[in-house]
Amino acid sequence: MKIFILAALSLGMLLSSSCLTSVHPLVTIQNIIEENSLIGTWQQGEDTYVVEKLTKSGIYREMENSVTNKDKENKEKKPLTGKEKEDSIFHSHAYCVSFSRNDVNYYMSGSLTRIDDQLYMELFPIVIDDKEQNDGSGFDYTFNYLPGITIAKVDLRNKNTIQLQFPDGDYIKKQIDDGNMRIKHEKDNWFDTFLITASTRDLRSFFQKYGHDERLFSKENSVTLTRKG
Amino acid sequence: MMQKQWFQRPLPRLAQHLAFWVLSYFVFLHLFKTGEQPARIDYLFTALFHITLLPAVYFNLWLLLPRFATARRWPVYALAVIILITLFTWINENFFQDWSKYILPDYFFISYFTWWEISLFYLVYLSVTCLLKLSKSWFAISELQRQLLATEKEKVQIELKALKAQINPHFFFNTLNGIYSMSLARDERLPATVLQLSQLMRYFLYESTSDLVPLEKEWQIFQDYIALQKIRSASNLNLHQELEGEIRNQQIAPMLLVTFLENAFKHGAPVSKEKSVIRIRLRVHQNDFDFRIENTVGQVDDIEQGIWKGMGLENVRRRLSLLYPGRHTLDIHESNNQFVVNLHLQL
Repeated sequence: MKIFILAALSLGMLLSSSCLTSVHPLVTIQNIIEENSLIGTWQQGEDTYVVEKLTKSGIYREMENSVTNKDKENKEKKPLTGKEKEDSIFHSHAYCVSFSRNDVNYYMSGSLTRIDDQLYMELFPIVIDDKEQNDGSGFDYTFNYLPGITIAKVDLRNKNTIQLQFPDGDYIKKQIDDGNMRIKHEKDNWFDTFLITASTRDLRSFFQKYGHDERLFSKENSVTLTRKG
Repeated sequence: MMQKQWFQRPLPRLAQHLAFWVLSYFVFLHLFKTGEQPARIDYLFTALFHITLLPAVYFNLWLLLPRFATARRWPVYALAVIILITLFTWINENFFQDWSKYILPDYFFISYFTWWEISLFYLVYLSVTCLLKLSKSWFAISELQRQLLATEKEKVQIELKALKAQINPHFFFNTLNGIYSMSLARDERLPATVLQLSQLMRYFLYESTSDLVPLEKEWQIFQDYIALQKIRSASNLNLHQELEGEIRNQQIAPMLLVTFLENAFKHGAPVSKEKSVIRIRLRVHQNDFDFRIENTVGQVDDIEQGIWKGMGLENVRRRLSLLYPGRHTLDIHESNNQFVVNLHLQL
């Protein structure tokens, strides 16, 4: 869990000063949408972000191959059912967001949804590939871990500029601590962090009501990306 | 007008309502708090939720329930309740999901329940408050019934008292006339007759005020009455009486049997030179008796005046229905020039 939170926070920290991390997703198979104008390479300062369809990304193919190989061992190709089928549909609409910093490659899954007139993206880590960690202690997402999800509001300024506005985690934490905000949460006193544990329904209702509130989505907590090339 | 019970007075009623809402508030608060302890926002949210509940509950209690909750109008009531729940669910959902951000901009909360869940809340609160109101009405009705019963009983007691007091004074006047004649004739039976009259009067005036008297006493008075009547009509009277069984400790309402006897003497006066016949039979058992009296139908001995006309048998009939409901059979009929009364009584 700690690694997950760190991993999720690392993304937010790279992009923004503070962010909101949730246990439950904002995006589900019922409300996921595509916005292919996001596909491409984006620049923010010295950082470069590559956005591509998840199912077409290298990391996804690697993971698929490892799963397929196991199926070959079983000598059975089972048709997808239940959760696997849902995941497959979900992945087909999701994106892979990847970037590198200090020779560490970060791979995130990004999925989009619309709440009223606003577009939201949720990101959660897939792999953190640290080449220098030869003993394999780089981080891999597996089903043993609970993903921490980062949420951002997406503003498509034009086809070459997007702005990601992250909810101000510090402000939200303060409001919760002061007894002004009612949303399910858990606190980690060890790392002085907190995690939103509200359900998907409550999350969506929350952003539906407060999605335009500048106190939650301040400009200081936003990141502007310009298309590269 | 029924006196209000203590819980129906304004202050206790207000206290009851307050107690209900306070209890509801604290239960709701602790069930739905987001952390280990309720935060300030939880207190506020719970209060606001109850504020949206209150109007619906009282609209139902004060307007819908009194007006429409009858057997004939229950479909209208059901429809009205559905509309009420739908309306307030809409208000609740919109308040928490939208309007509150304008009214209370410094607080962040949403509508945490689905439309169906909110409706269920309203349904539960309306049902519980209806049941509470109806249970209070039940207590009030029970008290009213108790008071009515007490009033009925008192009424019956008053009526019984009045019935017992309806002694025909003619008998006494005739007996006194007879005593006067005896005193002129220096009749030896005079002292005994005076004593019998005294005992009879004592019984009529005092002992008959009791609810029950010993059957033995009633039978004794019965005999005294016959003895006094014989003073006037011995030559014209043929009286037979028969007692079967043993009179022990049985109790009877006073003045029942004597009334039949009085009626027999009153209506059995001989028309012609033939004597009138009165036959009396009393069969006594452990817990009941059979009483039969039959007399020759003659002319009415005394012309009854005013309120006394026809009162005797009606009087005893009414008393039997009040004192021995379902425990007696009274048969009065006339056949072959005989007036017959049969009374079976369970003691």
